[in-house]
Amino acid sequence: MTFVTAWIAVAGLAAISIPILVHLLFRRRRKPVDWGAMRLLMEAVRRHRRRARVEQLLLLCIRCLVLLLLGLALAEPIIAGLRSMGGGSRLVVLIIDDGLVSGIQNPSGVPELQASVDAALQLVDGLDSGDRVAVILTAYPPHLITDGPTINIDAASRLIKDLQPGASRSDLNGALSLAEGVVQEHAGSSPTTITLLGSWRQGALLGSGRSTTLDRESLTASAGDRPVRMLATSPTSEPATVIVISEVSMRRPVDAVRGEQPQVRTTVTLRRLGTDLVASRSLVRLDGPGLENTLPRQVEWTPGRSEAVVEFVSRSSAVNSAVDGTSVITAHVDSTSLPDLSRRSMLVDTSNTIKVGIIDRQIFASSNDLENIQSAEWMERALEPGNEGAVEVDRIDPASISSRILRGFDALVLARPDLVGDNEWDLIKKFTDTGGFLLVVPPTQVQAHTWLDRMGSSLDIAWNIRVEPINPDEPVDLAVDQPGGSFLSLLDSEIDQLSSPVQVFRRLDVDVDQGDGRVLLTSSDDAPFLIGWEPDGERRGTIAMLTSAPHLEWTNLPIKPLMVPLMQELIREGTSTSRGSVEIHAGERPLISMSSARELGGPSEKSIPIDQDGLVSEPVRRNGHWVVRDSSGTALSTIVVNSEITAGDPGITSPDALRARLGVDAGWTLLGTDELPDQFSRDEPNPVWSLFMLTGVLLLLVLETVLNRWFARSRVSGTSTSAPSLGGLR
Amino acid sequence: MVEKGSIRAEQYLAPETLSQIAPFEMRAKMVVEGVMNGMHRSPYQGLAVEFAEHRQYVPGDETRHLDWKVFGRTDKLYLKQYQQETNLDIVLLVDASGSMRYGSLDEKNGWGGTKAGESTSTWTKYDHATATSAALAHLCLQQRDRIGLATFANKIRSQVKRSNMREQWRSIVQILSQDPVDDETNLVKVSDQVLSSVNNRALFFLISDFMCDPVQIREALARFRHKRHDVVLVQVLDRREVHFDFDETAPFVGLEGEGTIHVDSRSVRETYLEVFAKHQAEIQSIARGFGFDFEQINTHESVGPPLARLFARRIAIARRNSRG
Repeated sequence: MTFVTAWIAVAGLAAISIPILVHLLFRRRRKPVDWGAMRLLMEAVRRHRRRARVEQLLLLCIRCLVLLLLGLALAEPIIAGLRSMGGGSRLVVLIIDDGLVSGIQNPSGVPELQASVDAALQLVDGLDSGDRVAVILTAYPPHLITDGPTINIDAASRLIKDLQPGASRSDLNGALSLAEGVVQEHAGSSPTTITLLGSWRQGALLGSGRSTTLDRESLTASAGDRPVRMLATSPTSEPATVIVISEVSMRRPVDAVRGEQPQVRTTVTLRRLGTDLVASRSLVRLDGPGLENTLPRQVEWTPGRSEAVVEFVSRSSAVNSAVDGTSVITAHVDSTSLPDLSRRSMLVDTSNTIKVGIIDRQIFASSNDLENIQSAEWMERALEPGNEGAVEVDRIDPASISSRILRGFDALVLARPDLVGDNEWDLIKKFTDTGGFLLVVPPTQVQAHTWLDRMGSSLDIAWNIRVEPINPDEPVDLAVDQPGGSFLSLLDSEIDQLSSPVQVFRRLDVDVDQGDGRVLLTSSDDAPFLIGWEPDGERRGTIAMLTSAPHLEWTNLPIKPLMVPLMQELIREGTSTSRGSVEIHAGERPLISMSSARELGGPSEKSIPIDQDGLVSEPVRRNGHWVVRDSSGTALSTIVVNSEITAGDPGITSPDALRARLGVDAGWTLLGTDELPDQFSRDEPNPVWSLFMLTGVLLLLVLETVLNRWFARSRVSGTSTSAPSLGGLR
Repeated sequence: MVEKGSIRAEQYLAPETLSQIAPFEMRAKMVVEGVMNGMHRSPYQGLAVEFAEHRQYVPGDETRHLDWKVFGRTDKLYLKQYQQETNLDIVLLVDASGSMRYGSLDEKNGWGGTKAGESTSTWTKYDHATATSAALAHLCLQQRDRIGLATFANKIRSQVKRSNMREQWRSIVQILSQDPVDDETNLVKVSDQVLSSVNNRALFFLISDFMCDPVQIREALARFRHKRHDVVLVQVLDRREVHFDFDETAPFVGLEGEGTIHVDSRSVRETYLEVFAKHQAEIQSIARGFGFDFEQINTHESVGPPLARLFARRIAIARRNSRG
């Protein structure tokens, strides 16, 4: 227990001693009376004791009755509350569904969440001082917006009033688990009610796909065997249709990187969710840096049509880089039924400059003989095909590797791993741990690739590769169907045409079944050609390795069309992943790979700190693009946040389905939102009862006074003690 | 306080008291057996002073007692019989138990003190009993009646043999003023002791506060009645014992070793007065049952008026008896 002003409490305690001191100081020492008629006095005392006991018992009863009635009169509101709830102060746990689907708006633009908010406000207004309320929101991840159960009803009302629909899915199970924790920790012996407020469309209940384990018995046991009421609003029966942008994708031709400003095709996929799919029109547009002049496109929705695809064409140069070589494109549809799903953003890598360091000895004389061109030179030519490219390449001598030099590069191409010593491997390991992209190329100058062991142990990657390369009897083509993956997603449409001319003459022998990397490109005999290791654990950077060196003795890749786009996309995607530019769903906490990242700045909200491990300290709850910044405020990368499409399913849930979802035997009571406040109102104090009891108190006080004086009448009639005249004695 | 040997008996007998009781005679309610001629009727008839009755003459009677006037009128011989008048033996039995030490009245200068008031400097019940005894002794000696004294508590403490000598009064007062006052009362034992030494009928003044068991009083008086003695019960009480007008809670210490009890005086007062009234009624009922007089004397009041009231009542009774 704490005091608001402790010194007053101390003064109060000190004041207690005053009457005690007064009593001790002024206590009279009673002089003993030598008494002759002791036999009579003792008999009188005996008799008096018997009678006094009866009298005092009567007076005690009257005084107790006075206090009892006085207490009842003053505590009438509490008594009324007890009558209505069967207990003292109440604990009310409100679970309000503010998930994505609660943002479905009616024709006047009011979200369905507002009905839950209004019901919650009415409910909270009906609580009394002393009651505690805890408000839990279901939007993933569920959280308490009150500081635990609070008796500050006004503050809770303000928080509820300010609620807005969330962009993340509803996590009803998580919210109920949170409520259970609150009840277990705070219910004590208070009457407890858990109330679910929401419209309970399909999107709100799809969460984890399983029914909650919360039941009344476990909660009752948690609440000290006081029965816990569990109330829920009935699901809405209003049909709704939601038009959502389910996907935005961009296809960029391979020659886009050659500075020729080709066309970029952006595809927007729209879906109509709901059952009432009538004929209508929608307007779709793109937003993004340099896309201001892109014309909107109209979609005709015929009755029953649920999906539409719209394609936008724009110049690649128009898609400017916003942050760290990436840009955000947002597609909008003019439907306002569910705002968070009527727009969708995506990240586009538009960076102009990626600094790549090629680790190899410096060669000052370039050879015109293709056969003699080394891997490093082919890599330089592929990464810098023209004078104006998105990639800047520098050569790093293996002997001069230092952390200072490596710090200036986004990516490293290790063309001579055989020349790298142990210390240098440690520096390269540190480079990848801090988010740098590493492409390892087998050196052509050695027969035994003993560096593989050092690489595996230094970079902590596991892949079983033989030291000696193998030379297939016949050149092996790259496979037409490639596994691909996020690294090469932009090449997906053309990879079959680009990979087929490539032949492999020599390669490292890799055991496909033993390793923790992922094969990105394979040859037609299923031998890995390109392996990738995505960020894992402490390592925030991506590692990739070619099993065949880009040298004409090993493969004809350097002189084939795949070489340039492959290396460009490899470097771009590798650095993009390493930079931490990612797309996540609303409500998640992304892991930022860059060690210098300190905060995540939203479009309109305050920044969210990033901890030392790169984890964003709070869930990112709003859609849009967020910027990762370092301690100086410099933008490092971008995170795009979108809502999950399934979370916006406006399908109607039947009451039985809701009961089944909540647990048939759990004891939930479904009520209309207008019925809820009645469940929490207390009986108003009855002033007649209070008046009656106060009158009784007065009568009893009079009776007590009369009886007290009657019982003490001897002292009232006591005579003077002055000595009478001695008369004849004098 | 009067020192031993220098007692001035007059300090116990105020002139007002003498003037208040002087007009009265101390008369025995019953015939007494004195050895001297006096004012009290004697059971012995013959040489009487006061005519008692006639009886027929029988041979052998002395002829000098024949009533010739009756013979002249009736021609029958009757003898005149006279009742002898003799002196009265009076014994003062003064209670010197511990309870008699109580007194709430301040000691009066010039008044004789006793051992009872030494520690408290108050006028105790024993002081008042002494004054009463002094007055009674003075009156008796004035009538030439023999008077004796016995002080008692649980037994006889001191005695003064009956005498009608002039110095008897001073001896009585001196004994009263010097005797210690303590112990509890045992009236039965005391009555046995007293009655064993008194053979003739006598008048006993039992002066006490009677703060003992009424059963004990009844048994003691029964013994006196059995011996055909006359007893006057003089109860000496302090005003506070009668009214119990204390205003505070105080420890009350029993003077006869009953211990200490803490009493809320105001709250217990009513009950005390009830108990006291019951006790008084019981004593008076006992006295009345034996035909003995009872008189209550308050220490805060003069000795004279209650004694005068007592004597007047006894004279009236004596006259009624003589007429009857």
